[in-house]
Amino acid sequence: MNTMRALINLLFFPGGLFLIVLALAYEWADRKLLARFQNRIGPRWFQTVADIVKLLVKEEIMPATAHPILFGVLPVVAMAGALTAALYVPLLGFQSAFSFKGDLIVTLYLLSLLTMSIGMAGWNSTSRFTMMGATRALTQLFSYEAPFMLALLGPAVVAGSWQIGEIVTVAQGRWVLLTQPFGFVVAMIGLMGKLEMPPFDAPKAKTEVVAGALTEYSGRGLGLFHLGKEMELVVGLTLIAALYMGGIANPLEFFGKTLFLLVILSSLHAILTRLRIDQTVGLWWRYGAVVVLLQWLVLIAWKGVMA
Amino acid sequence: MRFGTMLCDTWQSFFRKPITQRYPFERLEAPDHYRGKLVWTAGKCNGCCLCMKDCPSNAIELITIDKKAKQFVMRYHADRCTYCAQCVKNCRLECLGMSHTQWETAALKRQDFVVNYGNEADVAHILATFGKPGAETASSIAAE
Repeated sequence: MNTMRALINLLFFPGGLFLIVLALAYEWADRKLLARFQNRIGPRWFQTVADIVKLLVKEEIMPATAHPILFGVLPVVAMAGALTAALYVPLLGFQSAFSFKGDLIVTLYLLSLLTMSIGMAGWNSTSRFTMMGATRALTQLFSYEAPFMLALLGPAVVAGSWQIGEIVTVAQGRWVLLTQPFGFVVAMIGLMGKLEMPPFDAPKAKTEVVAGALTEYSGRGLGLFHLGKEMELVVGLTLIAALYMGGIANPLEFFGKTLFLLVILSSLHAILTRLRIDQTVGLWWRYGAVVVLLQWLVLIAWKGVMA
Repeated sequence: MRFGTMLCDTWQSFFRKPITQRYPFERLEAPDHYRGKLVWTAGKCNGCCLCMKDCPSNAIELITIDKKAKQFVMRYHADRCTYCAQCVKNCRLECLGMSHTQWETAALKRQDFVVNYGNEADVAHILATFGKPGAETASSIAAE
């Protein structure tokens, strides 16, 4: 019975099919919003499905110099990371499928698996564009990862636990967003960095490095990477909404919250332009990290005062 | 502040009607100088064949039936044409022009790109002599 439940969890409800559908829906919403912000009509609702299906049935062309096994495995690892991360977060306001002590840390690491895979894929493709893209992606990873992680650990410090379920219970009904505004802002911008959205899209700048690390990918690999990225969007939004916007709620309310966050992300996407890689690193280490660390100090001091 | 202005702008666009033209349903008019399909009017054409010689992509065949009676058929291969309009510039009798109304030139078969200009009887005669349009008939009938 337990195995059955685990299988359903893996294949249908929080992970697997449900997450894929949700990811495609969020991607559609993102593209439609962006299009409307730019005075365009935007894609119809099935466009994201059509794109993925097209990519999955297309022939995959492999560069002769690439390591064949690594070339095939990396997209799978990237998507698997996002899929696994989804098991530990309260998707759509339902309790997370699995949980243990410290699953917040594991989730955060699983989320960076995608960027790591993209970096490795770029290095493995042995083309100058992919190499450049990979270098940029990894440089960015090292700049936004620490502040993003610290920002998501803020609510954990308040709750005194690193288990998502417990943090969410403590944050239930309490909008951590109001007590830790800087953490929220850094987490949102960190998510934009993670998803390589503008202004952090230097790793896939079309005018400079074609498609960045994924230039050599076509067909199935590219499709899996895309799907992984959209899943990461869903998981990231869910995490931020659960930790900062009053814990889990009924599915509709929770969906509304994540959609609201998505609207913020898309409107920032529409108005911001690409930063140079040194500007990105500077922004994160000069401001992002400092702001979050200051907030941490305040939190710890506050906890000390209260104790 | 510039950030606020831009945010306002995007949100205004959000509630505005999209400016996208739904092409097959609504069409813009092309400007007068647009170089669309090549059009030949018999007019004063004296069969000098300058257009044919000048065409960089061999898209024009001027077939002479009777030079004295000024009977010509102009066969135009739209698929080869680069729309450079050199023939139009070159024709001193102003028989050639590029249409700004006929610019939807897509077709499914190669044969559909071949257009025969001239009076109907002449075209029918040419088609009967040389078979289907699109056949490789570069030489003019004058040789006969």
